[in-house]
Amino acid sequence: MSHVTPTPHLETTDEPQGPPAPQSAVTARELTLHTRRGAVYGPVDLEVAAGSLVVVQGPQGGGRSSLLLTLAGRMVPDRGSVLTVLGESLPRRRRAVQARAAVAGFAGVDDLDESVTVAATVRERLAWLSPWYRRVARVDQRTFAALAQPVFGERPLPRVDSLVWDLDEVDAMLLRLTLAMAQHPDLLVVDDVDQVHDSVRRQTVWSRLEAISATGTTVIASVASFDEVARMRWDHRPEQVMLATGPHAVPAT
Amino acid sequence: MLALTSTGTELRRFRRGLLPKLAVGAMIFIPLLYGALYLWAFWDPTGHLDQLPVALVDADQGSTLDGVALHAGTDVATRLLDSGDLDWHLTDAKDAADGVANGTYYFAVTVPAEFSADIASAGGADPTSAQLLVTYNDANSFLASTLGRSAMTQVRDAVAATIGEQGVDQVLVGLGSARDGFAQASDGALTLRAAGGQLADGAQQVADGATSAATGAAALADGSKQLVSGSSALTAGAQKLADGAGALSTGASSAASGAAQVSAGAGRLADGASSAATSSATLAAGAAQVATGVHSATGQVGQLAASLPALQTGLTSIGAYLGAHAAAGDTTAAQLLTGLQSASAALPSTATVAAMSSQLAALDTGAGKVAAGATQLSSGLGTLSTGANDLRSGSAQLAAGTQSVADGAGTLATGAGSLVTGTSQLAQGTTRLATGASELAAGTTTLADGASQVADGTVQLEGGAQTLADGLTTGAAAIPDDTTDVRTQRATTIASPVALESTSVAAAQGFGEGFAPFFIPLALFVGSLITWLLLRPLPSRALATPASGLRATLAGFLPAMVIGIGQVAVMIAVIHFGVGLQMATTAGTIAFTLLIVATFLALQQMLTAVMGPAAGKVAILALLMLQLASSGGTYPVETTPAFFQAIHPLLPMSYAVTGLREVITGGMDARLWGAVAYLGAVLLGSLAITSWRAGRLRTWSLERLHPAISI
Repeated sequence: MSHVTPTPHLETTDEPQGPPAPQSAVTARELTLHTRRGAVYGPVDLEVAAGSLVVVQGPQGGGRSSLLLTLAGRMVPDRGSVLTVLGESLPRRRRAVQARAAVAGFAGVDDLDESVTVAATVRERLAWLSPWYRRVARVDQRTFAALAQPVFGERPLPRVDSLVWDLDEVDAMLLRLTLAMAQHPDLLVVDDVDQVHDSVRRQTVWSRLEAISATGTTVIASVASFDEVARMRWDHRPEQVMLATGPHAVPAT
Repeated sequence: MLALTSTGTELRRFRRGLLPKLAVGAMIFIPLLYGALYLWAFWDPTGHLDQLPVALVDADQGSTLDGVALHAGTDVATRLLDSGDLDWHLTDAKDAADGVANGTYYFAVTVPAEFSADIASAGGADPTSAQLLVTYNDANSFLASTLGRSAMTQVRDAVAATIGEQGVDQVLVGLGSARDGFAQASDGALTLRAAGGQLADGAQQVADGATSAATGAAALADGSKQLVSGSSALTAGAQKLADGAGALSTGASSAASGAAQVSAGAGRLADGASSAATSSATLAAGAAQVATGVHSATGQVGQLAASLPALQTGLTSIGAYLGAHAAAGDTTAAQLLTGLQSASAALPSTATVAAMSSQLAALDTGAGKVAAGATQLSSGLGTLSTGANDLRSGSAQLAAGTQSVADGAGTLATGAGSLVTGTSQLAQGTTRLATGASELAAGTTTLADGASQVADGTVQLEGGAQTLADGLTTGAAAIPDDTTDVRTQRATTIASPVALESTSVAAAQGFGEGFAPFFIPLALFVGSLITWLLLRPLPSRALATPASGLRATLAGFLPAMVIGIGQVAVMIAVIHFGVGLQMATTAGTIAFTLLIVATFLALQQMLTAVMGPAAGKVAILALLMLQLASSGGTYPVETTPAFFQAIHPLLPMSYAVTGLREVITGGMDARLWGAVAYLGAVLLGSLAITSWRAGRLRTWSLERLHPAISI
């Protein structure tokens, strides 16, 4: 029996969240990152409106993951960068942003263990998000449905006793989004939507991200294909950010 | 299940498929391999020494002891073969040497040819230790050599005890004889002490006599020195005597000749005196006549002088008549008066006449005396004449006498010369006498000193002889006066004077149990390493959530601890039931072992979290090596170099070994609780550091996202 209220946030789309009506979820000026290996991304100027969906396009190794982690308060940009996320100044207020911004789809960060059931995976995440003294019950299909329905939408939910490696690429991606949304974030950053290789299934992911952003959660997602936005169907054509910097600079379309 | 204690999916991911299950098995059983397998193999190596092939060569040629043949080598070989301590192979020297060289035998024991002879020598003139020769070859196995040395020490002790009894018994027999000899010697020393007393008295007398002799000799020396000076004076006096006698002789001769001349002169004097006597008689006669005449003259003059005053008066009356006439102008009266006056002036005064009378009286007296003197002269000259005659005869005699004196003085001079010579010789002799007397004095002084020292020495001799006597008596008493049985018993005790009786506060059953406290922590440390190779110390999914650092830390630690509990359960069970380890306290051992594995897991998790997966693993391996060397699990840490002693108290395995020793072997004390406290502190400290680090790790770096090195 779950003590986590199943996704009230996503079900009540008109509920105000976070700071009172921030017009801008992300404001970035001269956002850059250099390491000893050289330039990673930037300079990037961003202005992301709250509740909007932003698609970041850039080649593999172009600093997309780093940029998204920076926006989610999980990575520190160069000094001199000006970055405000959800009204919090970064990187100083990282802890606050980490609590309100969720990440999904990052290789090496939120990878799923393949040989584990969906229920165990969800239960683990609920345990981490619960106060330490709470009992976290086994996750049954109903609990999972309450949690996953807003993310999966019309798509049939996988059975909780199915193993992760049995999941379709899109279901695995949606499961990762579900786990991220269990945090009730104001900002959701999703890396590498291309990991869903099939473009029809990727369309599903994009649609679900659009639906999530429609509930007020700002969504910033990255993809490698430069014509991804053009090839997909959108209710509202999302804002695009071309990331082509450093050694990976490629003329943008 | 509390949210805090959720193990997440970390372990569930090993449920599916064969390989993940094998991986869990590996995590759980790797410590078993380290712990139980090692213990099993090393459980009781010394208990199987009878499987160790060892060559035994008996080259002993035998000997005789008290006329009885002695084959000690054979005895030793037989005993070794019978004991079965080692897998003895009785063989010859060549086979033994070859066998040790090629590994057929681990080592070889040789009873040398002179073994019995050396044993027999124990009671003889040249006692020699009997040798057992052992040839090792560490190339066969160093530990076999070490075990062999240990075994041979026991063999040596056993053989020495038996052989020693025989030798000591002979020595004790000799000691019995020595006791009798000591008693005799003691008696002799007492006799010596008595003789020493007498000798001391005699020497004291000698010393006294020598002292007196020294005194006398000193006096003799002084006297002979005086004698020397006296004889010198004598020589000088004799010389003077000789000189004086010579002079006397000469003088006497002169006196003799003078006396002769006196004699002659006296003759002539006698003649003259005789003549003078005659003449003086004549003189005396004449002088008597003179005296008579003078006496008559004197009488007449006296009469004359007595008439003078009447003349004077008459003249004065004439002078007064004439003066009165002259005053009346009678010139013839004046003239007669003047003439009268001049004539009366010319007349002698009464005083003069008196003087003339006395002088005439004196002349009268003198003439009488001359007459008397002349008479006496006449008689004296007669006497002189007589005396001169006597003088003449006497001086003749004197001449003769002085001549005799002269002759005698010559003789005396000659004798005095001889005396001079003699006294010179005497002076020389007395000089030698003085020298000799001085030497005698010195010598007798030395003699006196020496005699005193002899006297002192003999007193000491007496004391020493007493001491000797006492010592010999004590010594004789100290040598046991044993019966045969007691002597045998004593021989046994002396041959093996020290027997070990050990008491253990806590006793390990054997080799394996002694090593278990070392192998178990070692196994658990390696088990933790294996665990962290397969499990994620800090699950990155947990770091991606806003969960606290402690939650993320426990998300990594608790699944590993589940594996650790499995490791402990399996290992303790197998060691106890399989290998046979007995524990003083099973519950305590299990609890302490769980604490060890929890500490090691937390420590390694902390190292991985702080240093990263790659560097963390390297650090864990380095820590493992340091702990292996410094934990004191094999050899006492005090026997290791100072570096290991220095890090010994810093590393947790040291405490794990110490604590396990106590819970396994028994004798739990403060060291156990100290170990628990230290391990607990490391456990909690490691978790705290990992929690702090996990908070930092929620912020990724590019290096962590795309590590340069990944393990």
